[in-house]
Formats: sequence, C-alpha cells, structure tokens
Amino acid sequence: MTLENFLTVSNIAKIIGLIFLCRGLIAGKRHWLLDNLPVSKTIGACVGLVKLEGTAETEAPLVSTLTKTRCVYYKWRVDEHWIRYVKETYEEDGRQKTRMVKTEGSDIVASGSDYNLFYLKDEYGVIQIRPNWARFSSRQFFYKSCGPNNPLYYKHAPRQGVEGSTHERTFYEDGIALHCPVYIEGYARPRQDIAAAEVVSPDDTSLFLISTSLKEYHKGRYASRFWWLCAWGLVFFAGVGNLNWDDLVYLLIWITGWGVLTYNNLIALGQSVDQGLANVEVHLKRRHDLVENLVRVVTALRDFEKEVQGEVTLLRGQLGIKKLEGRQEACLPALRAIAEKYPHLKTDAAFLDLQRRITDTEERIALIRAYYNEIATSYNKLLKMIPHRLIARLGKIISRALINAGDFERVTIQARFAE
Amino acid sequence: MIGVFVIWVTGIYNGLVQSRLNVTKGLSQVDVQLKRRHDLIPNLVEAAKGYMAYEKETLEKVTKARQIAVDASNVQDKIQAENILTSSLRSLMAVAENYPNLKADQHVLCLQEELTATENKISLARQQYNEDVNRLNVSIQLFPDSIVAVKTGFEKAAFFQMELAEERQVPVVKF
Repeated sequence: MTLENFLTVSNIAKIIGLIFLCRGLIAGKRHWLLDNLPVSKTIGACVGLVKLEGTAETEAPLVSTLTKTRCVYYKWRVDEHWIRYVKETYEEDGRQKTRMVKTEGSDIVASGSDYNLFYLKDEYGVIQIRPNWARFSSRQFFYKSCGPNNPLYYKHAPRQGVEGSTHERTFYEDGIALHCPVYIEGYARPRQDIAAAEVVSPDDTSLFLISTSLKEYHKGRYASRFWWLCAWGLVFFAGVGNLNWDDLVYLLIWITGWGVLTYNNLIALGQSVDQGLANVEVHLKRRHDLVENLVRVVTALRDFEKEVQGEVTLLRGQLGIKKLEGRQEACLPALRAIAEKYPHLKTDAAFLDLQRRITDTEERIALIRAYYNEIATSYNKLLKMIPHRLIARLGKIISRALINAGDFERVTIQARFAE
Repeated sequence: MIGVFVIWVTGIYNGLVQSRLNVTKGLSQVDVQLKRRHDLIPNLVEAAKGYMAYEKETLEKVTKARQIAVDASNVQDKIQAENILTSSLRSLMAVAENYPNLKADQHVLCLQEELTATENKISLARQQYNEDVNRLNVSIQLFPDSIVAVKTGFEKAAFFQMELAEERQVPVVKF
C-alpha cells in the first residue's frame, strides 16, 4: 500500500476520529480525579491537588482601571466598532465584475489586566494563593457602550480611532473583588518563607482555576468534554450516513480505552485515598511531638514563676514591717510602694497559648480525618457502581475503610477538675 | 515503528526514574527539617532557661539589697547598700516596685511559637513526601506504564507511617 492509497479522505477522517478519542480520554482522566476530590479547609489543605472555598482577601488590594473597584484580580478591554467596505471581484456571465461589500466588526483599542498574591479566607484560617498561570472565571464589574459625547470615550482609550470607525466604543471590565467568595482548584505546596501551605499552579496549568462561581458550576466540565469528544470521534471515524463494520472497530477501541482509563483512574484515586490516610498519620505524629513539648515548656514557666514570686515574698517578709514604718522617708522611692499588692502572674498568657495550640492541633486532625472519610467514601461509592464495579473486580481493586470513633470516645466528656 | 516504540518506552522509563528520585528527595527534605528541629530546639530551650536563671538571680539580689538598705544603721552602710541596689536595678528594669514584673513569659511564648512552626514545617515536608510517593505509586501502576515499571524493577514506595503505634494516642496533658 503506497502513501497515496493510504491518504484517502476516509482514512484521514479515521485518524482525526482517533485523535478526538485520545483527547476525550485525556479529558476523562482529568475530570475523574478532580470530581472526586473533596473540598478542603484552609488549615486542613495537604500538599497535592486541592479544592478550596472562601473569600478573597488581601492587605494591599489592586484598584481596577475602569470602575476603581478594590480587587485581587481584574481585566479590562475597550472595543471599537467599525464598518468597512471591501472591494470584491466576482464572475458573472463569464465577465469579471467588482462590487463593494460591507463588513462589520470591532477591534480592541485598549486593554489591560493585573493580579497579585492574595489570601483565601474561610472559618478556619487563611491560605496564600499565587495566581500565576491561573484560569480566572470572574464576575463582571462594568459593561457600557458609548459615543464620543461621553467623557468616558477618550478616558481609557487612544484618541486615534480605527479605520472605518462608527465612533462607538464598548467598555468591559471584570474581576474578583475584595471579600468576594471564590472557589479554587489548584496545587498546594509548602511555602518558602513561613511554615504554611500555599496554592500554586499544578504541573498541568490548565487545571488551575480561580472562580467566583460555586463549585457545582464547575463540576463535570471535563466529564461533558469527555463525552462530546468521544461522540465527535465516532462521527469522524464512521463518517455520516452509512454505518458499517468500521464503527464497531471504533466502539471496540472506545471500550478498551474506557476500560483502561477507568482502571487507571480507580488506581490513582485509591492512591489519593491512601495518601489521605498517611496525612492523618502525619498530623497525629505532629500532635505527639508538639503537645508534650508545649506542656513541658509551660510547666517550666509556671514553676519558675511560682518559685521566684515565692522567694521574693519570703525575702521581703524578713524585712519587718515595723522597722519599715519608722524609716519610710529614708527609704528609696521604690521601697515606699511596698503597700501590699498581689503579684502579677504572667503564666496565664502561656497557658492560653497552649490551649489555643492544642485546639488548633485537634482541629487540623479532625479536618484531615474528615477529608479522608470524604475521599474514601466517593472512592468506595465508585467501586460499588456499575460499570466501574466490573473494572474493579477485574483489576482486583478493593475499597478502603473509613475512620470511626471508638466506643469509648463516643460517651459524653465531663469537665472534671476535682479528682 | 520500532523507533517510535523505543522512544515511547524510554520516555516512560525516564518519567519513572524522575518520580523515584523525587521520593528520595522528599525523604531527605523531611530529614532536613528533623535535623533543624534537633539542632534548634535544645538551644532555644537553653536560651529560655538561661534567661529564667538570670531573672531569678537578679530579682533575689535586688530584694536582698533592699533588705540591707532598710536594715542599714549608719550612713556609710546605707550608701554602700544603695550602690548595690542601683547597680542591680540597672541590670533589670523590670523590677519597678512591688512584686516583680517577670519577663520570662515572653521568652516562653516565643519558644512555643517556634516549637509549633518547627512541627508545622516537618509536617509539611512529610506531606510533600506523601505527595511524591503518591505520584510514584500512581505512575508505576497505570497501564501501560506499569508494564515498563515491572520489567525494569520499579517498586512502590511506602507512605509516611509512625514506627510506634502508641504515638497515635492522645498525648497526656498533665501539670
């Protein structure tokens, strides 16, 4: 078979169909992991792919160009409308003729955008977002069309108009305002400057999303792409109209591809579940190492304060109040104020701090456990459902157990002070 | 055709090698943080202890000096006693009057902050390690990469796990 024989229209269409199928499978791979990840809280976000919800906060907000809105990201654009007449040649009755054709359109005459580091805040805390490479899905700040009579017309765009201008400019601006609720899909990693996590772009930058719409809006955007691409692949592969044995080949490839994809996705999701459990371990280890040391430190301070205040009082007691009364004017001013006062104990700050840190530690552990339970549940659910159940059985994939409280942990806790 | 196949397999193999190296790196990054803790915390504790000892000593000296100043019977003694007192006072401005205003608590708060930050850093490094392990394990098991992985002897790495089971228990806070 020579190359010319091979490059027929139908073969090219088949190749295009297969390319569509490949792209569809890639989209399927993405939607799986993302759709099954639970939303994390800011202090419970572990290193890896994360989904977060909260409000956009920053100490130094940007000011948008058109509306002067305080925001963390904005994008603006000015379009100018034009009508042009283009000469077109055509043939009529074997003779060359020309005519003027009216075309319409608009050109961007000015535009700009800006973003900055910002923080996502929820009820537990904040996390830094580094929005480089992010895909923004933002809210409209401003939309207006106007003519040269409006002072806005020349304010943000050049005086020089485009060719064939109708003198009508349209101003667009959108962005993410300060304190606006946002939904983020990205990759969490440790920060370089302080001991905290930050959200950056994953290796696959197309997965980095910063949006002002809810997560439900984005759920399944790769899923629909998967089905559309597979359907278009079938159309190209089979051609329109006549169904034949080739279509069966496509379906076979599709089923194999889907099977491999599903198997791979279940494996990847299962690994994420295991990772979730390992991160619980990390936090338990953190608690074990941290709390004991904190307690030791606070105890040391308490003992120190007790000892010093006690000894100082004791030494003063030896002073003799009577002796002092007779000689008050002879004493130093500092000693005159010996009138009894209670010592100002300071260990309370350290104890409060200890309480705060223990609470924070337990909060983190609870969040990570909740995260694990959620991801494990969505994994187990998939393993139970048809047709994934079939793949799971073929690939010997097993479900994961959830974390439950022990019976002794379920009873009410009594705050008991006296033993 | 064979050429394409060789390039494809080489690509998979190189990806796997990179993942495995990342896991090794993740583990040594955890070690870096553990080493930091080992080197830093004892010294910080020593520093806080040093300050506490200093504060205690100075306060006791000042109190004793006051007593001597009050008890002093003649002018000569008084001047001498007050000299001791002023020099002690200068060394610790905290002792204004009445009960001493202890400052060691600030050092302890600072120490608590640093302890927490250190543990946070270790925890983040371990999470990063888990992420690296996850990537390696996924790429080893995915079809068709798994064939290359098995043929070239790649093995799954283990996630972070505690060596001692009792470390999972709630630490006892007792004073």
